[in-house]
Amino acid sequence: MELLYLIEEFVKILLNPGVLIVLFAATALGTIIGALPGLTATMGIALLTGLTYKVPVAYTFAILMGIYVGGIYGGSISAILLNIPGTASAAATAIEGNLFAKRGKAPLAIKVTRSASIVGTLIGVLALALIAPQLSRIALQFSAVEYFLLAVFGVLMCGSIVTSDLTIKGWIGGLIGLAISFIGYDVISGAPRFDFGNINLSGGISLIPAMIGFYAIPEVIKALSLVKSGAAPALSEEAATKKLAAAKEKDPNSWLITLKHIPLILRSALIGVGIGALPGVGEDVAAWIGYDNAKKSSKHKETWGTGECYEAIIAPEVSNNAAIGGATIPLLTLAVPGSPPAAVLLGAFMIHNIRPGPMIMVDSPRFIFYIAALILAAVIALWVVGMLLAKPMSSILKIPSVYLMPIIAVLSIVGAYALNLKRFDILVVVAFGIIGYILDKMKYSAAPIVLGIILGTMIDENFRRALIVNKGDPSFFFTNSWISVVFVLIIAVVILKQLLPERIAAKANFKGLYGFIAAAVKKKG
Amino acid sequence: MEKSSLRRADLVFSVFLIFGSFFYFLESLKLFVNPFRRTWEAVPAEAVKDTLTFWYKSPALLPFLVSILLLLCALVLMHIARKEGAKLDFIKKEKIAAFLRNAEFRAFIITALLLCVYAFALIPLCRSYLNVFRGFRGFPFFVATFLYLFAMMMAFGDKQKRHLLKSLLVSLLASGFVTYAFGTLAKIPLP
Repeated sequence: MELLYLIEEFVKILLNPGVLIVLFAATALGTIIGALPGLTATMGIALLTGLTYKVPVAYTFAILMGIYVGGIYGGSISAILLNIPGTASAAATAIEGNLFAKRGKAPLAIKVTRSASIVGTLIGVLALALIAPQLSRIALQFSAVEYFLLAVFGVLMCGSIVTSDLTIKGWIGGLIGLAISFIGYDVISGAPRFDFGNINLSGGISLIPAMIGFYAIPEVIKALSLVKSGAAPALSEEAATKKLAAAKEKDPNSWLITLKHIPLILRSALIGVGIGALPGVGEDVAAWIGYDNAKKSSKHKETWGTGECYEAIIAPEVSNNAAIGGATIPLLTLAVPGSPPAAVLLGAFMIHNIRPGPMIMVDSPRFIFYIAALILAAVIALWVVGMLLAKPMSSILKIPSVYLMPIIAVLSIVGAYALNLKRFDILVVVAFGIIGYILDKMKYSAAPIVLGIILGTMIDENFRRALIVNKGDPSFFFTNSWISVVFVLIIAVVILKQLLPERIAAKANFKGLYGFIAAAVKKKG
Repeated sequence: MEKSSLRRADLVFSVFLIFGSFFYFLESLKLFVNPFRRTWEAVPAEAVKDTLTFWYKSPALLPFLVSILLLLCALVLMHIARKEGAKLDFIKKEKIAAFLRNAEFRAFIITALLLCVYAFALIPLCRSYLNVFRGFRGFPFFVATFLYLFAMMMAFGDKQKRHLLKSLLVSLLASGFVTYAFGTLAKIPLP
């Protein structure tokens, strides 16, 4: 039944030329954004969320999903051509992808990663359409206790996994995010909190300006710092064009190459969907775990690092694109974003009065399928756009940061201001941008901070509601339902894993999936 | 950032966090006792008693917990930084001077400064003095954006005449495009 709904929504999109054109254009823009070093899918969605708030809902989500899908794929193009991953999710692809380019096989590598991205996204969409409705039905049984624990789990898990340095930094980020989220009027009592008498703070910190600040401005500063210090990578058009034109002989069919690796694709897609569904973790971690898993299970280990190993470019691309569908599952059903781009999408939903969560199947029963169908249509757009952009991409990639980044800064200011017409939001962008850059230099990831801001209200409200219902007795965490007990146990394991010395943790066998993810992320760091 | 420098930064940041979490704790305490910011004389003893009895309803409950957890995390961070050899021995004149001469730090300062000038000086000033065309409300924004873009491109590009002309042209076209596309076509209010 779910698949029928998905097909119906997909056909509706195909029959709407306006949405289709917008989706194609957005996917092309997303691919360019993803390919340009310093511009990420998250930044693209954050900027466009602000700039499209007046656009009709159907077009808005076509734009945002197109940017999302295109952005995640686009990163692999510069990763292959220039060994500079356009987005963090393409970093794993760069390892082998650039070796293909050095052998004059850049066009083939780009085609294979495109096919892998398409297959990965498709599997992610199927997972979204099939799992999300069931999960939202389960989530209908959630009470305040489960919501509180789910949100705590989200911030904790994200903080534990995405940090490339010390885990404690992820937790500090999450706590800073929570502290920011408490600014403004308290929903339960109506008391003003931490506004220090400033009227601009009494309404709280707006989510989208905060996210633009954390994701866009640090990238602008970082890119321009590289220019100033003379460390900016030379984006030579000549070199990129040479790499693209090098292969004169006929390349084998990229689809045949990709589909020869079906078991690897399925495994990588499962990893992508699973990691994508973890709150705030996202596509880049999925890509690294996909890569790591493919390397460990490869039967041709001797080919890795030679520029001939297709597994090394297929696995991360399938994983990071499957993570799009995975990240959208908790976003739509629990209002808990699975990745940084999904976190920005949550802000976009709220702006357009769409309330994700368990009630979504009651309030807007077709919305999940609509979003899944949009991603599906974006996959087709990606196929076409990928072919069309393959050649001009070498010229696009040479745009120097010195011209591009100041324009991004201007768009950040316009996007943040456009939402609420508040000058204070510009201050938020600039302040959070500067803070975000400093934190980034100290290896604090923006993801737990942003997730803390998003989930702070959910944690606060549900914790107190649960306490009020139980008259201040906290034992309900263990007695409310089996779901809450499972959450409490997972949270306890995650905390203990970090607090206990490694020796004891290993003895207690706290490794499992969590240890595997953490090891892969440490490797990335 | 090198690991030793990173741990020094961690040590400094942990000190900031400790002070920050203390401040947050004190603010939470004020919020707990007097959530609606009445003058302290106007807070009746009954209300304080109620707050203590029904502590779980307080809007300060989670902020309290967060401030305590933040303090604990800051102490752990400080412990790790110190264990890995970080000391506050870099507060020396020559080391600070070397840090200030660092190209990346200077780039950060220029970017942040120009962004602040654009957002808090150029845009409001142009809005106040250049709102002269009734049919072109975006003109002040256009001028402010052009000036900002040009300044940024000149600050970070080389000083050759070719780059100057290119920057002039790109700034003009980009500010014109942003003003027209968002302000006129999409009718998005510009700052």
